[in-house]
Amino acid sequence: MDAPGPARHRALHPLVLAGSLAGLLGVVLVGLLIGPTPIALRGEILELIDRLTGLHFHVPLSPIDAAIVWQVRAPRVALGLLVGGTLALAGGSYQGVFRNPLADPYLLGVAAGAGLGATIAITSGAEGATGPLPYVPVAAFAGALVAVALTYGLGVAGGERSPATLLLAGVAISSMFTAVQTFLQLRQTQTLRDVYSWILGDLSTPGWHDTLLLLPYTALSAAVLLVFRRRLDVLAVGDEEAEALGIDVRRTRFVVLLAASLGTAAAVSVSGLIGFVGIIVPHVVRLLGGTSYRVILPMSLVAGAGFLVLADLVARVALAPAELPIGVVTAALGGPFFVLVLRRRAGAGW
Amino acid sequence: MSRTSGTVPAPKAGPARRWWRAPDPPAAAARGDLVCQGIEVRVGERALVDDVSFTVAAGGWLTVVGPNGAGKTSLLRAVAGLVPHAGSASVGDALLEVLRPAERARLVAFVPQHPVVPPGLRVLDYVLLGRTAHLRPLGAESARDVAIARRVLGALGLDAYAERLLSSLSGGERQRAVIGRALAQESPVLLLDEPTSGLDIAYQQDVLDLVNRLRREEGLTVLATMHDLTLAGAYADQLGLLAEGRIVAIGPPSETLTEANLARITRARIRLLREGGTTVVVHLPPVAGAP
Repeated sequence: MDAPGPARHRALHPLVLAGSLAGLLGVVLVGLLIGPTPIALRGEILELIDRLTGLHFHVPLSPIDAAIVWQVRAPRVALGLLVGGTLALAGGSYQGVFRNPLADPYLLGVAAGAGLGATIAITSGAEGATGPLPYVPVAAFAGALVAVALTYGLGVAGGERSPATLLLAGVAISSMFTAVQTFLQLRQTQTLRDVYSWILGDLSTPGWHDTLLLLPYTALSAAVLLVFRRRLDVLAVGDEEAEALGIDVRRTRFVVLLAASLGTAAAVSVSGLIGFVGIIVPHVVRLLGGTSYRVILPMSLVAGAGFLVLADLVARVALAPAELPIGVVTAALGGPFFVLVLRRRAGAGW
Repeated sequence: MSRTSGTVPAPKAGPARRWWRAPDPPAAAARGDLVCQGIEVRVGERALVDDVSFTVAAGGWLTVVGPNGAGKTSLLRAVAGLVPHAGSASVGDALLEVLRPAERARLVAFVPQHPVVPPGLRVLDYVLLGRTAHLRPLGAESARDVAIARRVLGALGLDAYAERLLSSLSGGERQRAVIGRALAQESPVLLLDEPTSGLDIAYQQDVLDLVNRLRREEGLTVLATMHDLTLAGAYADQLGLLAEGRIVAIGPPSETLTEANLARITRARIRLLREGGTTVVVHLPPVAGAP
């Protein structure tokens, strides 16, 4: 990863970025071309060229097949890109702010809050309803923000909001929210399955609505986090030295946590609690690309997006026509990979 | 292993020009005296630093000595703006307490006693962290910032280490890298918290010679804390004796390093010898029959 020229030190090499983006494009194409419904590959490719370039071929796809590509697979791939990229970027940012390799985007209560919000929506709206409830994402988003706000508000010890007290407050708030959620869930056992499958995560989306809803939050979150990536490198020398070097540590931590939590809350409200992406992707990037957040953050965004699209592909295809919950796939693929990474890193420090 | 020279070069004549700077001179850094008035650091009811006032003239060197817990580090951290405190510290006509961290970092550079050594960080990148306060919010380091960092490394005899990992350096080399990071800030005031702790005696001299050279040639103003009274007296042009948060005596080492003064800040059994213009602190053997 050593870049030529002294000025490029610790910066992301443009060739690496270009290569990763090309890889991501490949993943997107695979995600569009492959699915549980068998469609002729040649027709799909012609359809893509036709739509993307405006050249008019004779496309041998039936309108139904074309709709599967554009209204079923494409929004799902786009959602996977947004959710995966956001979770991985947020996870990398959390790890930088907390200087803790175990930090993930759910640390400050986003997951527990979203879980409680979704559970309230599902259990209270379940009477006779079938299929996805429209207000589950809104409730999950609200729950996530409430939980993070409580964590941040309560994570003060002796007038100071240190990373350690924030982490502990996150644990406490998460436990409380999970307790309430479990209680509600057990009171309404007929919705157990719905709640459970929401918690495991799901990228299936009826059309483009969810994806477009998510886009502004994830774009804002990603923009802010990427702007702060050099400041995270300075934070690596500790709060006090970073402050002495000219960083407003409290404000930096607040802005980064706010942006990461907002993006995470928006992502999980649409996709459910997809685990592991936010913790393993930044670690893998760190292993391959070094310890600078100027590399880790942009590369986590790209790698997380690609990883989730691939994981979703496995979820769609592995047991077709049935679908695996994507959380199962990310953990099943990510777990062993994570162990490998950890074993290679043993003794190398964090 | 390259080491800085042990001799102190004579002050250069003519206008001071920072020799690690890029050829294009930046806007002149604020110059001026470091003036501290009524500095007070409290933890609950207890005052760690109690009404401390002093002035270090531009280009001067004040070393604060005192026993463990006297408040030396707290005083330095207060001047650096890292702990809440009463009183004021100013550089020239700039009051440090009202500045944002980046503005403060352009006036005061702080070398901590136990710097954090992040893994996977090259020495050059570590020194470049010193440029943080000079970067625009969205900016990355420019070629000029890299040139400044490389000049600093050259001045400290660390050229050959630029690409090495900071964590692979010895204690003395690492201490120079930390000082390098502070020099890259191009601040007129340098705060050194126990700069010689953990170094062998040759490295202790090297580090202090280096700081001495910088202040003589570049007019750097130095505020340091130290435990070794002999070394402190040999290098600083002012010593401040601190006990229980208060200044007991302050002035040139020849006046402040007296057995009467030291008895006020330490119960150690010591005697002072005058040796070629410096004061040597000698430890006395245990008293027979004492526990």
